[in-house]
Formats: sequence, C-alpha cells, structure tokens
Amino acid sequence: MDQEKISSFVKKIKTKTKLILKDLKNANLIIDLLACAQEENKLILCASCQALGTVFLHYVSAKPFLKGDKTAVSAEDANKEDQVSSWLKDQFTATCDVLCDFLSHESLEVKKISLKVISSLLQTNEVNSSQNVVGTLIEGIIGQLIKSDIDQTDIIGEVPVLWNAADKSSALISLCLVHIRKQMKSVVQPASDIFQRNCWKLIKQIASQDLDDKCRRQLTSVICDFLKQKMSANLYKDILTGISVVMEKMSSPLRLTDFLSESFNIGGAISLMSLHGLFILMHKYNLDYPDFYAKLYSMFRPQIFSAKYRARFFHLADTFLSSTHLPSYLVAAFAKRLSRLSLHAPASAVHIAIPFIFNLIARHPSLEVMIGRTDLPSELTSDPYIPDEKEPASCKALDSCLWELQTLEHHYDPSISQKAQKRKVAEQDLSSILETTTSDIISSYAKKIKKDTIPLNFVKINGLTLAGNFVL
Amino acid sequence: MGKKGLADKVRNKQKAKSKQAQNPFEVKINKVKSSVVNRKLQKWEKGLPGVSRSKAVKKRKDTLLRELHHMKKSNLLHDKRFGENDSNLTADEKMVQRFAMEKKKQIRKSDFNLNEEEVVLTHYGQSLAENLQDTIGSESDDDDASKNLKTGDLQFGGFTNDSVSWKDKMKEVIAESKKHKFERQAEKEKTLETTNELDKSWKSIVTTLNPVRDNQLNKGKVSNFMQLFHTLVMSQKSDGATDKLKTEEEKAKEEIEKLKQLEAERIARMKGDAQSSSKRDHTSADDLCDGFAVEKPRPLVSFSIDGANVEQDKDESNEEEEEDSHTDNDSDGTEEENEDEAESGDDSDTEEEEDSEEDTDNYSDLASDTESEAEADGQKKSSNVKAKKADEKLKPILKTPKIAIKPGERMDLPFIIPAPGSLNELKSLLHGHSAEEQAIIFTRLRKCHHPSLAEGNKEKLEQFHVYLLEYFGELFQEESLDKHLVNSVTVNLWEMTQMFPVSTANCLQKIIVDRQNLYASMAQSKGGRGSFVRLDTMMYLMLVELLFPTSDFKHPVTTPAIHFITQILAESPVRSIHDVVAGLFLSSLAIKFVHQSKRYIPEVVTFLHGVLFLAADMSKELKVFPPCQALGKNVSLLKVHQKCALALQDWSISELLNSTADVLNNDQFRCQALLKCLVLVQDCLTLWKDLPLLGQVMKPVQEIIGLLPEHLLPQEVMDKCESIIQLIQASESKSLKVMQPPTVKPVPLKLFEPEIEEFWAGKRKKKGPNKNENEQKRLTHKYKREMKAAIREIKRDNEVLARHQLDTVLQKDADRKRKTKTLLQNLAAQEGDYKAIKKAKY
Repeated sequence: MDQEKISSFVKKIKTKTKLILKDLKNANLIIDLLACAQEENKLILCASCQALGTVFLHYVSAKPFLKGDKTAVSAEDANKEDQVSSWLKDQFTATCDVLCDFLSHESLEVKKISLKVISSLLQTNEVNSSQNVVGTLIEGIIGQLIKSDIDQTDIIGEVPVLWNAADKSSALISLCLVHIRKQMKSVVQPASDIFQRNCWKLIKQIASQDLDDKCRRQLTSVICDFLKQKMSANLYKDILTGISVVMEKMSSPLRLTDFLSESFNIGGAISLMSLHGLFILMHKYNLDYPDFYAKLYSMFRPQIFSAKYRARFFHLADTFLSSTHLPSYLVAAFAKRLSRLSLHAPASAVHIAIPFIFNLIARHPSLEVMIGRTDLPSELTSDPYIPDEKEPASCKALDSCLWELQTLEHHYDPSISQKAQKRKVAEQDLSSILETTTSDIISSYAKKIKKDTIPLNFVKINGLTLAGNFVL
Repeated sequence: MGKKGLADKVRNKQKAKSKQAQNPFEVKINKVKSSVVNRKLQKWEKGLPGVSRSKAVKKRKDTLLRELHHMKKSNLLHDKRFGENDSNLTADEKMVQRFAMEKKKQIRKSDFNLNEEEVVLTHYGQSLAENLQDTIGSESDDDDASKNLKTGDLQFGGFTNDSVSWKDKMKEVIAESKKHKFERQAEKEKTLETTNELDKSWKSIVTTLNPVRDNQLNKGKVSNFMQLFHTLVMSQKSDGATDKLKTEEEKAKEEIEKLKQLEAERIARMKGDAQSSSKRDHTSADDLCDGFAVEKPRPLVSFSIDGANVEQDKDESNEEEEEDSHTDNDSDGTEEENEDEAESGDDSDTEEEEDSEEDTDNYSDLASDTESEAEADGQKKSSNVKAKKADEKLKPILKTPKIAIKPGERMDLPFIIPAPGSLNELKSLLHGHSAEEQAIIFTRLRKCHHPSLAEGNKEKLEQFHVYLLEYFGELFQEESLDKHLVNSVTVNLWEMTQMFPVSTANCLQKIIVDRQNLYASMAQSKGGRGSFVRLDTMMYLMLVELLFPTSDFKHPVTTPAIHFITQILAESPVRSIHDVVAGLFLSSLAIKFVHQSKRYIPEVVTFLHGVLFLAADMSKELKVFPPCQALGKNVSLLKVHQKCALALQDWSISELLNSTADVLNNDQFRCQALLKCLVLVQDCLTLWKDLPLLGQVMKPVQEIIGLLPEHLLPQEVMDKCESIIQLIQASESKSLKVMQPPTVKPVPLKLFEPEIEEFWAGKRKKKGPNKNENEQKRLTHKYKREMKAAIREIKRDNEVLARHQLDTVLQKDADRKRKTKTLLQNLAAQEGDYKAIKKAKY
C-alpha cells in the first residue's frame, strides 16, 4: 500500500470518528473501525486504535451502557435503549479484545498507543466501577504481556502508565498480581525462557511502585511461586542482581532465604551475586546465617582478580566487612588472605587490594598488630598463617604479619609500591578505584612529556640484543 | 711659612681648650642600670650641670636680656672697639692688638714723610751691610767649602758661576724622562712585529710539514721534535691559556667521576621520589611538622639536546678507545675492511683518522679500564667544536653496523640525501637497497642534516628519527628478517635517541599505548581474554628496554611498557605452542626490565606457573591462576609423551614465531620450552632472593614441579627442577622478621630562626621595610626632639626674664627704701639740728 492510500485511509477513519461522535445514529460505523483494526499497516492500526479509544471514551461517559439499569420511561423506549446498549457493549468487548491483541503486535508504536488507549479507558469512572470489565481487561493485558513466545520487555517498561494516573492504583496492581499468578499456574511447565523474562520484568516493574500491605503480600507469593521454576543461568543472574530492589517491597523477605542460600551454594558468579541478597537479609531482617563469612572467605580465590565481576565482588566484600562489630580474627583472616592472593595478582587487581586491606585495618585498629608487632619474638621461622584452612577462625591470621605488603613494596608498579609503603592510611572510599583497568593505569603513566629532557640509557649498544637466551 | 704658623696656632688652641681641667666637684655622674667593670666612663654617663647652666645663663644674659634692654628703644649703640665682643681674647692680648693697630695707623701716616726713609744697599736682595758683617765678623772653620763658595759668590758679583737656573734644570729632567719613555715604546713595537712575523712563518711551515705526519715510517719512533710539534699543534687548537689541555689522568678521572655520578643518579631514580624527598635540609619555625613540604622539582639526569655533539666531540683518546672495543668485539673481521671502505669514502676523514692513530702511543696508558670507558663514550660533554670537525667525527657510526660494501655499489648512492618527508618517502628511499646500503643511507642522512650545519636541520632529523622508529616496526612484519638491517637501525635509533630524547620518548610511548589500546579492545571483545601480540610489538618493547632506563622508579616510557608486558602475560591464555614461545620471551623481557631494580612482577610467576601446568600430570586437582584454565583442550600442550635427548640452545624468536605449529609440535621442543621456563623460574628466584615470603610466592611453582612426569623428562630438566626446589626450600626456611611499628621521628622543638646578618657593621640597623617610611620616621623623631628642645628653651627664657623682672623690682624697692632712709635720716638730722639750735636759743 502506498503512502497516498494510507493517508486517505487515515483521513477516512478520522471523518468516521467525527461522524460517530456527532450522532448516535452513525454508531454503526464502529464496525467499520473495527474492520480497519484488522489491517496490516501500522499507521492505519494506530489511527483506528485511537479512533476506537475516542469513540468509546465518549460513549462510556455519555451513555452509561455498561450498567444494565433499565430506567427508561416507556417499555418501547426501554426496549430500544436496551438493544442499543447491549449492542454497544458487544462492540466494546470486541474493541477491548482488539486492543489487547495489539499489545503483542510486533511494532512498539502500536503497542504503546494501544496501552495508552487502554489506560485512558481504565481511568474513566464508568469502566472502573464495573469490576467485570476491568477484570477482563487486565486479564487480557497480562495475558498478552507475559506471552511465552514474544519478548515483551520493551512494552513492560511502559506499563506503569496503567496505574499511574488511576485513582485506585493499588486495586489495579493487586488485580494484575492475581492475574500474573493465574498465568503462571496455567502455563505449561517447564515455562519458556521468554515467558520467565517477561514475568520477571513485570514483577520488577510492579515492585518499583509504592505498594500497600495487600499488594506486598500478593507480590511475595507471586515471587515465591516464580522463583520455584527452573530458569536459565542468564535470567538467574538478572534476578540476583535485581532481587535487592524487589526484596524491599516484599512483605516477608525472609521467604527468599532458601532461594538465596541455594544459589550461594552453586558457586562462581551466581554465588557472588546472591551474597548481596543474603547480606541484606542478615543486615535488615535478622537472618541468622552463621556460615556467611566462612563462605565469603572461601570465595577469595585467585580467579576473582580476573573475573568480569571483580569490581562488584570487591564492592560487596567491602560492604560486608564494613561493620566494626565483626570479630578481629575474622577481619584479620580476610586481610591476610587477600594480601596473600595479591602476591599473585595482576597489577590492576593489586591497585584495589591494597586500599582494601588498609581499609580493613583502619576500621579495626586491633589489626594493627599485623603491620607492627611488639610482643612476639622479633624473628619467626615461618609464617604462622595457614593458607589452606577453610575456617577463618582457625587460620591464625592474627598471629601473622602482613609481610606481603613488604613484598609488594618491591612491586614494579610505582604507585603500588608507594601505596604498600604507607602503613597507616585513613579509610577511603573504594568506589573510585574499583573499576581501574590496566589501560587506565597505563594511560596514567603515559603522560605526554613536557620536560626538556628525560633519562636515557647511557650504555652504548651494538645492535638489537634480546633478553634471556633468545636471538632474533 | 705663615700657613704653618696658623695650623700650629689652631692646634695649640685646641690643646689648650681640651686641657682645661675639669673641676671634679662640678662633675655629676649619672646613675646606670648595670655597671660594667673595667670600662671607662662614657661620655653620656657624666655631665657638668653647673657649668652648662652657668653657660646658658650667661648666654641668655648676653642675648635675651640685652634684647630686653633694647626693647622699645629706637637707638642702638654699637661697640666697635677691637676685641670687645670676642671672648677668646684676654685683656692683655686685646691691648697688644690695639697697640699694634695704633702703630699701623701711625706708619701709614709716614708715607709722605721722605726724611725718615733709610737707604739700604743690597746684593741678591740681601742687605750688604749685614752679610759683610757676618763674613768679616765670624771666623769659624766649621764648613770651609760652603763658606768658600758663598764668599766667592758674594765677593765677585755672583757672575763667576755659570750654573744653569733651576727652571732649566727641571726642563732637562723632563726631556730625559720623555726620551726614555719613547725608547721603551719603540722596543715593544719591535718585538710585537717580530712575533707576528714568526707566527706567519710558523703557519707556512705547519702546512708544509703536514705530509710528514702521513709518513708511516715515522710512526714507530717519536722524536722529541715530533712531540714538541704535536704539543704546538694542540696548543694552537686550544682557545687560550684558560682552556688548558687536560692530561690523560685528568680525563680518565673525569670520565670515572661522570660515570659514578650517572650511576648514582640512576639509583636515585630507581628508589623513586619518595626517598629523595625524605631528606629536608631546613626546618622553618612555621613548620607544622606534619610532613608537608613543598618539593622542589629535582632535575633529572640529562644528556641535553646537544647530546648530538656528545657522540662527535670525542677527542682522540676516546676514538681510540672505541676502536679498541670494536676490534675486540669483532669476531668475523669484516669490520676492518669496512672501516677502510668508509674512510676512503670521505677524503677529509683520513687525516683525522691518522691523527688519532698517531696518538695511540701517547695515550696507551689509558687503556686500563676499557669497559667503563666504552660506556662513557656516550656521555662526553660537548665543547664548542667547529661544525666541520663534528661532521668528520660522525664516522664511527659507519663502522658499527657490520657491513661489507663492494666498491662498485657504493658509488650509486648520492652523498647528499634529502630528508624524507614521510614514512612512505623513507621506505621508497630505502626500497631495493641492501642492509649495508641502507646503513650508509642512514649515516649520510644524519651527516648532511646535522643540526650544526643549518637552521631547521634539527627538526628534519627529528622527523627522520620518528619515521625510522616506525620503519623499525615494519621490519618485523616482513616474511624474512634482515638481522643486519635490524641491528643497524637499532644502533641508529639509539644514537639519535641521545640527540632527541623527548621526541623519541613521546613517539615510542605513543606506539606502546596505541598497541596496548588495540590489545585491550581485542581482549574486551573476547571477554577479557587477549591473544599474544605479534613480533613487532614485542620488539618495540625490547627497544624500550634498550633505549630507556628500566630501573627508574617511574618513567614515562618504561613504566607503561612493563605494564603492557604484564598485561599480555596476565590476560592472554596460552592457546598454542607459539603462545608459549611468545610468553616465555615476554617473561624473560620482563625479568630483564627489572634485573637492576630487582622489582617484583607477580604476572611472570603466574605465567611460568601456567606453562609448567601445561606440562604437569593432571592426576589431581590443581590450583591454577587466571588466565590459565584447569580444563580445556590446551591443558596438555606441553606434555611430553616420550623420553628424548635435549640440548639447550638459543631460540630464534623470529623463526619460531613464523614456523608452523607442526614443526614445533614434538617432544624435543616441548622439553626445550620446559627447560627455558625452568631457567626463567631460576632467574626469578635469584633476582628476588631478598623478598620476604618468596617461599610463599613460589610455593605453587614448587608444587607443580613436583607433578612433572619425571620418567619422561631429560636429565638437564630434572637437574634444573632439583636446583629450583632447593632454592625455594632455602628461601622458605629463611626466618621472617616480625614487622615493627614504624618509628616516629621525634618532633623538633619549635624555635625561632636567628636573623643572621652577613656583614655586621657593629650597629643595629634600624631599617624599616620602606625607604619613604624610614625617612618619615626619622623626620618625626627629629621633629619631636626639636619641639621638646624648643619648649624647654622657651621655658628657661621665661624663667630668666621673670627672675630679671623680680631682680629689678627688688632692686627698685631696695633703692627706694635706702633713699627714704637717707631722707628720713637727713630730716632727723635737720630736726635734731633745729632742736639743738632751738635749745641753744633758749
């Protein structure tokens, strides 16, 4: 279809809409509009969508056809009125279906407009008052939004318009949650990845709103049901990163404990990500999780230095160890283990590790014995620290010293060497250095030389002599 | 004579004045706060109040009271008598003077009185009568000769003696001195002329004598004449008496000093700024002792821009040294030819070369420390040498690359080559030429664009240097590598780096950073796992090591370079046998970077651990460090399957990296790689033997060595393993010193700084900050004092006037009383008389 035809079509739709609005007699044109809504072109779809919206907004407010009250004067009139309103009702349900179907259209524009039209319809008092209509509408929306074959994440981002302007937003939200739960139960197990993604996104959207107690309870049960499903690793990571936000809106976040502790036991990145959720539970909701620090201790391995989530790990670990009420043997164990690890770490990781260790010492002054000890004999035959001990309590870190810092004083990186030489520093914010990469370090050293001269090698060379026993 | 009398008079007067004896009863001694023993009474410590008061009173009497007396009177009486107002004259003197004046007046009156004048006969202005009386009267024989002469003079009218007058005598003396002066001047001019003439003739002789030096026969025996000749030639070259030629001992000493200084500076840089800033020489009173101090920028060692000349300004001894070292190093003997070729290419060079060879004998005692001097070659300070000479001395560069030129080919190359404007121009310039020819092109380019020759040459040469750096990288991208060419380019790069340190550093830094960015973006796209870099990048890193001091604590080129190396080692998993080779090369390069500073590189340890892991038995779970993975298809890349013999040999990096994987994929090569890796581990252990916890650092390596398949490995490898494990155990058994809390330096007491004046004038200077202000202060002070003095004087004046008035009143009263008394007396007497008469009447 070429451009002219489309524009004429759109014009036709507009004139029809005007006609309908002018007189009830032209109401039959609604059928034409509904037919238009079956077209392929998205411009026509948008136009028809909007036309239907304006028409029914008009009718819903002008003619209370949705309520089945018969207050007509004469029986004949009443009969006619009844006929019209029932016909309108049929057309209205058909329109609602069409609009909901549009929510899973491939074009985002159509989706947005239909969502807007639906939300404006929902806002009118008449629609709101009839529970039946609202229920069907919401069911249709949710059914379309969490489809198992179409990725709806883009339109889910727009969903808050549904309840933002409405008066009874909490009622709408709880209705949504009910329908989500229904959908999840009805879907065939195991659910597809797309379905779960849509679901999770919608839950997150709902959790970002202000909720009342009823909604919170509903949300909690929905989430618990949702988390029982099996899911892909990527979605799992997504959930773990976002769970801290959702957790605040749940009525009883402790119901997540099982899920988090299980994921903590999986190991690797997932276990790291579950750390934060667990920590919030422990910190705010008094979860008793005795093995937490032992497990965190076991996560300090050489692999953390090269992993992509290095910054996140150190950020979380710094948060976990920020409490000054932790026993000093525990913090000492962490400091010793990290310093031991930094002996084999790349320079960019040591840049984080050293301030991290000094932060620990600054928070726990009892750790200062590790960098300056006066009571023991001045020489030890070997390091009392037991590196392979899994329990931080029995690794004897407090008996040891941080000789690793002395080793790192001889590090080839000048700034690491300088950092290691400072024994006592005030606690500093790590967030600025967590993202340091090797490229950043190199560019910080490779500044343009503005001086007149720089040091050179003064030993004359005879050719390109290679290092070691290599030749050209 | 009158003048002398006056001076005497003044002096005597002053003496008399000072001699006025002070009346001890009049002296009043002021009270002092603290008396000092054995010190004379100072002027301000005593005074004569009575005397000064009476003086003041007298003065007022003479002035103020007189004025008062004359007040309201129109007439004034002037006393013009001689000496009446002069208080210095005594009454007697006054009288004498007055008498004398009276006499004078009387004499003047007799001007017109002719009778009283007496005529006296004179001879020579002396009265004859007196002289005659003298000669006749005195008969003393005291001084005959003088007497005779005198008498003769006098007796014969004074005309017998023809001696010249005093004036003439003086004239004669002046003329004589003038003559002497002129003679001296003439002599001086003559000597100057002859010297010039001699100089001219000497120059002509020098030119004619020059061929003598070429005579090879004379070379052996050096006569005294020749020695003298040479010293003359040398002295001719020197600028003046101040630029004395240094002896060989001095030169050697200077070079050693210079070397020592450079080494000391290198070590200072190695330790970093932190240490150097720690010693502060001065603590101010305002210092808060918080460790904060404004650091002065420390000048770094520099071989200044004119390091260009450095190379060329070598004097003979140096050149000779260099030659020595070259011939020492030279094993294939091509160099000798090459030298000759190069020399005949430049005719002007021949002389210079011969010259230096001549001197060989003289400087033979210098050859004590060849190595150190060879090092010092690069650091000779430049003195102002003529451009031509500098150009001639560029020659040693020609010798360094090992090239043998056939005489025919050399002629194709032009002598003057324009500087290339871009890298492509340089490439097209070099295209089709052999390594030897390219080396000549480099040399000639540098010669004809030497900065001392023309303006703008420096920029051209700098640009050429940058292109050459880029060309260096491209050399390694070609299929077959020309090693001679690489060596000559490297040597040229080194030498030009000494000329343009900053531009080289910037350029090389940019190359390194660019390649690192490329590597990082590649690694980013592959999820943080990079791949080993190509040969040219590795060679650039190698070049950094050769050109710049890697031992510096912080250096704008070497620090990024070592970071790049370690990043490659830490982020690139080993995927093929080529990666093993590249990684081992980079590890050895990293170790070379720190071999002087002995700094610790964790990435090397983890990489070597990873390589050993590839060869180890996988029977049990092993700890691995990233990027190495415990599982994967490459885990048994270096696993030896069959026992084989092995010989450690040098690896040619270019050949190995260009060869196919099949060639390398055999057990023998794996064993070699393993052995290389173990050698590097051993290097690490010896390099870092002083690090605390080295045992812990190397523990994973020790574990993995224990897992190597012993039965399959050659004996050499096993020996190496053994020695490494021993080293690790030794370092593990080392006792650890418990960390002590840092000793806090005692905070010094805060003291005020003494103000030290360099030149103490014996007085405290009351110097204000500003000249105007000082003047203002002085004036106010003076004004105050004057004001005070004036007020005091006025008060005293008033006192005097008041007393005077009182005196006059009292006097008047007394007079009146006295007069009344007399009157009353008279009246009483009269009355008495009257009464007596009356009585008598009755």
